[in-house]
Amino acid sequence: MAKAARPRKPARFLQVTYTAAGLYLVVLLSLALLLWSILRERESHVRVPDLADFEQALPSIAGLTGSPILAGNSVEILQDGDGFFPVLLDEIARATESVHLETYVWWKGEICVQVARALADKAKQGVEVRLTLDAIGSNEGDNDLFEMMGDAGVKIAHYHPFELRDLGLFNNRTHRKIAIFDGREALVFGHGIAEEWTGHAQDRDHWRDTGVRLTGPIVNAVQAVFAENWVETTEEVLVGEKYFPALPATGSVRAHMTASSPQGGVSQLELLYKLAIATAQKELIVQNPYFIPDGELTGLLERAVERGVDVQVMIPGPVTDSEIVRHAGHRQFQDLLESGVHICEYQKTLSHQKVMIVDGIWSHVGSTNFDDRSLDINDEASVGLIDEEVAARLRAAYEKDLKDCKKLDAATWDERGAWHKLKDRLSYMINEQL
Amino acid sequence: MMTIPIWLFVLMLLSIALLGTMLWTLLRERDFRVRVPDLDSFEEALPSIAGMTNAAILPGNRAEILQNGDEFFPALLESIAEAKVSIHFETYVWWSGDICDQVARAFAARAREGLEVRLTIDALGSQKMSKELRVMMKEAGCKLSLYHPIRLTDLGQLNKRTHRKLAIFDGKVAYVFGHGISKLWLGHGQDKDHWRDTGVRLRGPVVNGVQSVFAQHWIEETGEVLVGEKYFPALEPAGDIRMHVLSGAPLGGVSDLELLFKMAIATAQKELIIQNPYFISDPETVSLLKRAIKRGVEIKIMVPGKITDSPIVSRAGQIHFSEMLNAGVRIFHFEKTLIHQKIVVIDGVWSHVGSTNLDDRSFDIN
Repeated sequence: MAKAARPRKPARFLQVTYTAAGLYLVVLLSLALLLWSILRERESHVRVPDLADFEQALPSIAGLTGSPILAGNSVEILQDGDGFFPVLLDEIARATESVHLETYVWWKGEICVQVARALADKAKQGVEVRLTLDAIGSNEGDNDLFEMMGDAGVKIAHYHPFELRDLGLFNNRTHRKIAIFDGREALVFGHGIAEEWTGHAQDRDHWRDTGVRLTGPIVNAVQAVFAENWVETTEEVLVGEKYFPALPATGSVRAHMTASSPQGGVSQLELLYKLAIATAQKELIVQNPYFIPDGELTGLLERAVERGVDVQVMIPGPVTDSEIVRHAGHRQFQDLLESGVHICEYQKTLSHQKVMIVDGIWSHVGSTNFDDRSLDINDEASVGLIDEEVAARLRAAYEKDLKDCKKLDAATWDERGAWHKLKDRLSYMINEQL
Repeated sequence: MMTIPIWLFVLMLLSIALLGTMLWTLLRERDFRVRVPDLDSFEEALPSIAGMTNAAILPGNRAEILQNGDEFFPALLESIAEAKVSIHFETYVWWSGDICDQVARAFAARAREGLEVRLTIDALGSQKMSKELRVMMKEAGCKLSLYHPIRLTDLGQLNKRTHRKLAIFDGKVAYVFGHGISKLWLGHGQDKDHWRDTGVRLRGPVVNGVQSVFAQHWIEETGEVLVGEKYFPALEPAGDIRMHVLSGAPLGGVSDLELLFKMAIATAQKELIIQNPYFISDPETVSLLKRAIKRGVEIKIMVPGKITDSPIVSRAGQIHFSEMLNAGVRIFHFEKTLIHQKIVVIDGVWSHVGSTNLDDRSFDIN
């Protein structure tokens, strides 16, 4: 540590010895090194052998991402706000024992009041209502609403609020969006609790999103994901049949729930995305609002095309909530387009859904964006669904979205102008945090 | 001497303080207490325990208990000799001695026959391993991955070791154990040079789970994804035991294994037996144990006596002993040799075997 000599009269300067200055540098550098070695993105280059079919890869994908495949579920797809919020409100109204909701976004608008009232009413009836809100994502939310819910008996946990002793964790947000009712029914979705997510994607103020309603054994796994951040913030362990009832089969869909909280290790959802791309054999459809593949993901996508996989990517067009993200994604587009990846931009409104469909067998819905923030920093939750009918229904919705899309073309893409290219480059430089 | 402006000096101090705080906030043990409600039966807690610790309960398994080296090593060597496709092995301790040569030669022999042999060995735990053995196995075709080698760029990961001890054969038979590859684990716990330990050999659907745990560290170090029926075959029921596999890889969050142990103590209803070589209890665990006694649970804890490989751990563990004894916990010292096994038995229904010690290193770091 720098040792200060007695300051001279106008006390604006200090005299320090060279040894002290040197010592300071050594301490500073070693602290920085230690910090970097903990936080740096640990690269995980995946190598996957050739496979006869995608189905073969499923046990490995599930095993490696810590999400056991559970059979006997049924799935309902919830499109946009009109498909989602009525179901959410109905589930809350029908719950008799417990309502659990975790979300990143809680902004403002009529829908926030509606959801808050529904939760508060339930709590007043004596139903256990637990709400995990990300401290940053819900920062813009109406404090009166939170107070009203608290007074009614809703237990609210604010995830990672700004505290000095948790400085190192501040960048780690919960981006998960899940809800569980009586431990028996669950929603996994991309929607935020905000006016933007209402409607049916009719214009730029009403966004496009996708969620699923689940029943069957998989609900235990969704509950476990909720319980993880709940115990971390409140210390309350959710034990007993009330939360984890024995769940009989309700359908024939196999499902696996993947959750990640990266921090110093390989992220399970990053691995999941990489494995899905690396093992697809026929067709890979990606719909994602934040599509910033790094070099390795780009390579995996290109190799998929070489294997003969039809790779289709749908991203937001002019309506986006983040210009920087849009430009950062562009950085890799030339390579992707030239290698034969189909990219199209959704024109009508912000396409916020995070959907992936592989070989018409496996589909994946949840909170996970296709960028480093989702894959390496945030807590995410997504569900993988193994069922041809579910995949077909999601694929039909994708086909419908395609009608409102503009396709990018390798030849014209390169002519997008020097200023555009420069913005792409600069945006990509900060991509790890996006 | 050199002269610097005061604002620079203040900035220098602040930058150190900032980096120091960030580092501390990342590394500090995040205090974690669990509040568990009263339950009628331990059975009721099982789905919660499995769910919260991210380990699905799989029915239809068979387990054989392997006591000490005399039962463990012959079984292991036999499985190595009988494997047809792949041999996966992960360990922390690999020291020196005849048994190390024997195991290494067995691996090498199978690799030469064309089997896939993958070994994950902790870089620190295997520092005493002879280099010739390593070279010999590599030349024979074994794929050897040292877990978290000592590198400057991984300084922050240095304290994070793999303490896992697993073996999986053809994706169909798995071993989970506490033994290290060293002559100290030979014999039958007869004297201080032959330690007491317990492992299990498993068959049935749970083997997929053990394979996944191996595959996690393997992909982390090598990037190679283990895909296909060769590694994850469809497994028929082989018995009638329900099992769940847990793996801990903490850093920044609550370790699943810590949660498991705390929940297990909090939910036991009749009897709790713990055998563990490194038993350091934090106040939270002590209060959970005390509450269990009040509930009427009979608690027996067995820890090493005079023979221990770590006197510091023994002393540290004893801090809370008088408090626990007064509360009615029965504590036994095992005097014959080092008791290295990690076992928890609850209500005669649920038992837990593996590599997890009851101290902060196993819970929060490894």
